Amino acid sequence: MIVYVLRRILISIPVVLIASFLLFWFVRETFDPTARLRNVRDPEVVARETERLGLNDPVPVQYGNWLKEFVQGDWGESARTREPVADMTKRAFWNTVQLIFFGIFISAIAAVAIGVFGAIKQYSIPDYLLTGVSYLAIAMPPFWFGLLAINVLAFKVPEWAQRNDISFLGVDKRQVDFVGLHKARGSGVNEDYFRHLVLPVLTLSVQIIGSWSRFQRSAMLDVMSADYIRTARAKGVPRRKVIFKHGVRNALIPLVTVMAIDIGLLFGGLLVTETIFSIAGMGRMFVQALLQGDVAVLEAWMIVVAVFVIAFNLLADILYSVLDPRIRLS
Amino acid sequence: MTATDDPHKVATAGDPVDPEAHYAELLEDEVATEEVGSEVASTPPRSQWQLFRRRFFRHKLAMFGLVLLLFMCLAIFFADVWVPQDPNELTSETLLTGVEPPSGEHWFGTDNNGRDYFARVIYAGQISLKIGLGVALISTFIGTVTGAMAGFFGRWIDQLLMRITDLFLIVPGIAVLAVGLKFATSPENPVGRFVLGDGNEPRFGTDSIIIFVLAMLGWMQVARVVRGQVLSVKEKEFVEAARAVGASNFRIITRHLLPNCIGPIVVNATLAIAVAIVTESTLSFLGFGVQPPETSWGHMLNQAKSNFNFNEHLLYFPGLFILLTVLCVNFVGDGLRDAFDPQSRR
Amino acid sequence: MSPDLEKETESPLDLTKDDDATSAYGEDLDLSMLETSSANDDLADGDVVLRVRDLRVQFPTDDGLVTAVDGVTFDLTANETLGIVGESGSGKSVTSMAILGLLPKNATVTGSITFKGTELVGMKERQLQPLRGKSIAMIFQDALASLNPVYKVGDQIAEAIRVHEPSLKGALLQERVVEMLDVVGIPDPRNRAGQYPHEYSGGMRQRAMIAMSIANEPDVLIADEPTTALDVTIQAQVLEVMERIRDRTRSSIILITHDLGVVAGVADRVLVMYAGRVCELADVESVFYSPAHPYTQGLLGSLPRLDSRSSERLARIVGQPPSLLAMPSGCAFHPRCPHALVPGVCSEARPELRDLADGHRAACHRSEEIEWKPLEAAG
Repeated sequence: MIVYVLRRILISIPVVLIASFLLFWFVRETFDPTARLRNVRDPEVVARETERLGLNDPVPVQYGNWLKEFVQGDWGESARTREPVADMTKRAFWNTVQLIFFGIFISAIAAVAIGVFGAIKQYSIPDYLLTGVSYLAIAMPPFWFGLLAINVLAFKVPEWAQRNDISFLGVDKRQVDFVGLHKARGSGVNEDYFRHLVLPVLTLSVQIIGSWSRFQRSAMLDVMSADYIRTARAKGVPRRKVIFKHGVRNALIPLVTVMAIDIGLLFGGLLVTETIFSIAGMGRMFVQALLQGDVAVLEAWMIVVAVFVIAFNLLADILYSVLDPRIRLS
Repeated sequence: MTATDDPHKVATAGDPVDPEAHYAELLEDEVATEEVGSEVASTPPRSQWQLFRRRFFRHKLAMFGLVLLLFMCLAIFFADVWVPQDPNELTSETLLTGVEPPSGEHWFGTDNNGRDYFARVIYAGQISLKIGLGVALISTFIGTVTGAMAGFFGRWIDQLLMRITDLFLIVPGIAVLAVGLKFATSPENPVGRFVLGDGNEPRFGTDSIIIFVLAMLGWMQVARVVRGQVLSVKEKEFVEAARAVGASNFRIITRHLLPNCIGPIVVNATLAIAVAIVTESTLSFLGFGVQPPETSWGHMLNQAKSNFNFNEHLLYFPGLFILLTVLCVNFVGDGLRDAFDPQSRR
Repeated sequence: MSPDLEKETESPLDLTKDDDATSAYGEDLDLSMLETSSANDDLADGDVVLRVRDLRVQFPTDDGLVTAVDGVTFDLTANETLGIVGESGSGKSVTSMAILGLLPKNATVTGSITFKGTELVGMKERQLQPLRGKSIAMIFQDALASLNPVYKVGDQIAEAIRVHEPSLKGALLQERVVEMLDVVGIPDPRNRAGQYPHEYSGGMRQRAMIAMSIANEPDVLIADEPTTALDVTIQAQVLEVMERIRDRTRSSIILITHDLGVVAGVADRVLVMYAGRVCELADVESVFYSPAHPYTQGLLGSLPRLDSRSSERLARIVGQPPSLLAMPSGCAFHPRCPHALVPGVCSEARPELRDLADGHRAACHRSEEIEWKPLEAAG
């Protein structure tokens, strides 16, 4: 198993390097860092700045220079804010991790529950409802849902409650916040924190739950029609046990791998959620950096994200072999 | 013992009495008609196509989705015919009016510049739908060709394809697309310069650029699916049989492999429309997609995001249209999937 | 396998990945560990254990209502082996699943199935569970698909036991599991119990399924095509295991198969089914030497025989079984029957299953009139 892991890691390194080079090249060919200067300063200053930034060297050389520094721990400075990229990335990463943690926790439980329920009570009214809702969840653009959620929960509901003089459970006050993870100057895990978490986590969960629950439901249906389920029933195993011990256990195998891969992609993928809710995470960092051509930030972002995507893909394969004794990693 | 001895039975003249003769008759019948005795009615034979059609049209959601989708497409693409307001016209009058909620005159209200929102949504739909369909078609075409070749010929072609797709899967797709769009619209590189044209008129509208970039980066997904399908069909015996009879590679691919893969290809292409629409709207929302003066549903939502709490209509309608379109496309895609392969459950 | 052949007792090159070849053959199966359960003591030979009366099972399909089982009636007595024979689609599997209530929810089951006096049709899931695997057990055709791939074989057998004896645990339970594997002739049972189904060979898996089903010493064992997925040599071994266990535990066996040879070797009585209906029900000698129903006759006539001349063509039954959605009027077999000569009877009236000679029943209007050239016993 260790050999397998090491081999996978070894194979991934060139891929990451090539991808990071491509990114570097694309960004250099897209943005001119001295563009702003051109209008304002005289050519000498521009030339000096160009030299300083190493822009006269061919792109591969520039990339090589960056890479050399990067692997030694010097991740450079943001062209936009002059802040050390390493610090920025660490902060952003931590924020994203919080979102992912809560989001996945809720999504995984909800998706499995909904999927199993839908498969067992197939064609019942609740199943139709849930299926319908999951269709909606998948079809809805996540950013739209986020905005709607803000609109409704942070504004409309309190307004409506105030208009009708309802103060039951504090409905007439805004209970959720939608800017960042804490109020200004707030910190730590407290009530305020959770108030800020509700909407972004809800937004990112909706699509994930929609997709995972459909997957789980279909995997359950496949599994429940398998012969070994019939055998279990024929042995006299009670229904609940048949469903969970035999059914869910087998249906989880493909789901767990899908989950692992999806989670891997979330580390760089929350562009929309973080933008809407002004959360300084990896996604937002990327968006801001790309709008400005901040190459050092973009590269650092890419490397970190790629590492996690690869790691979780690897995790998916490992989990698969752990859960399914028929599969052994070669 | 003959049949006439039995009191329960009535023999009529001319009926065969000997079982062996009757047996021989039955054999003849069978050879002649390829059916056993015309008294046995069996379910009428159905061709693949008929079965498919029946299953698809039976699917209520898919039918509903298809109808609604067709209606929307017609309404949107023929907007010139029936939408009275101009979505783009800016006059001092409109600027003075500013934002207004929905009313009898303006069904969807007006936007910040006083332009009729309903008209804007409809016309923006042309861009969004065009992009969705364009991306789906082009990426499916490219992906099918490359995936089929990779799956069929194997070896280095296959390896190359897998490495390329690996490369682009290492970061989330949205990020890749955003970079690609920025690249393709930047004057700093030859591609961008070509795209932007010289002078004032851009050579391509942003919608075409978006279609191009999304398709260029989206075909890989299709190729992976097609490759997988081809690999599994390739192992089937009828392919071996065709080869044994001397069929050329081209013939095997076109006459045997592709028709059997067509199911997943079509289903994926349909669902790709929905994915493309959502992706474009997301990119436009983030600022990477459609640029003014053109607009799409996603772009309109970008504009709406700053002041939606007092002007929700700006937020609701474009999003609603995206939702509806994607929903219908998904219904149709699911219906197709069920029709192609009834074993796969909803 | 032709009934005239001796059963093969050799297992030549067994290419499977285990020792099927050495297990059930040099060594005697140690059956001393199988005690006859007290439940079986109160059953004397001849007592009716399972009584099926007019069983009818219907399924709604896209094209209409299908009657998969149409009026099946038979008795199963203690310690007898009943072979149910028929083509695919004849309803034999559905019949057996109906006994244990394993049919899908949309199936409508009418009629009566009584097990030792208790009516099974209409029983709720909860009431059936204590019976399943304990009083009535079932073995399925494809052992690879019928065993859960993610649990060890030993654990699955243990589950079969624990469900009915929850107090049995730990080392004692493990002992019982190992015993069962040993009884069916699986070598090195202690280690094998810790393996997964995919690590067994086909024959071993089937034997593991048998072990699982007899673990609770059931009164009735239903074997649904237990040998169909196996090759001939392994078939023989598995059948032998079943026979010897049957002799020792005094369970009744319902053996479902399409293979007449299997039935000839193992069954006491035979039930022949066609298109969901019973054609013939008799003891095995009567069925093979004096079949009364044209379908049975056709089946027997189509068996290749060692002593036939190679220039003779195999006789066959003309035509195809009918679609269950469009059954012929009257007798289901009449369109293909060489004896359905006289119009008005075979095509109009459905024949009842009626007694011909002692215990020999057939559903044919013309049984008495039809001459059948008996098979000559070989050797």
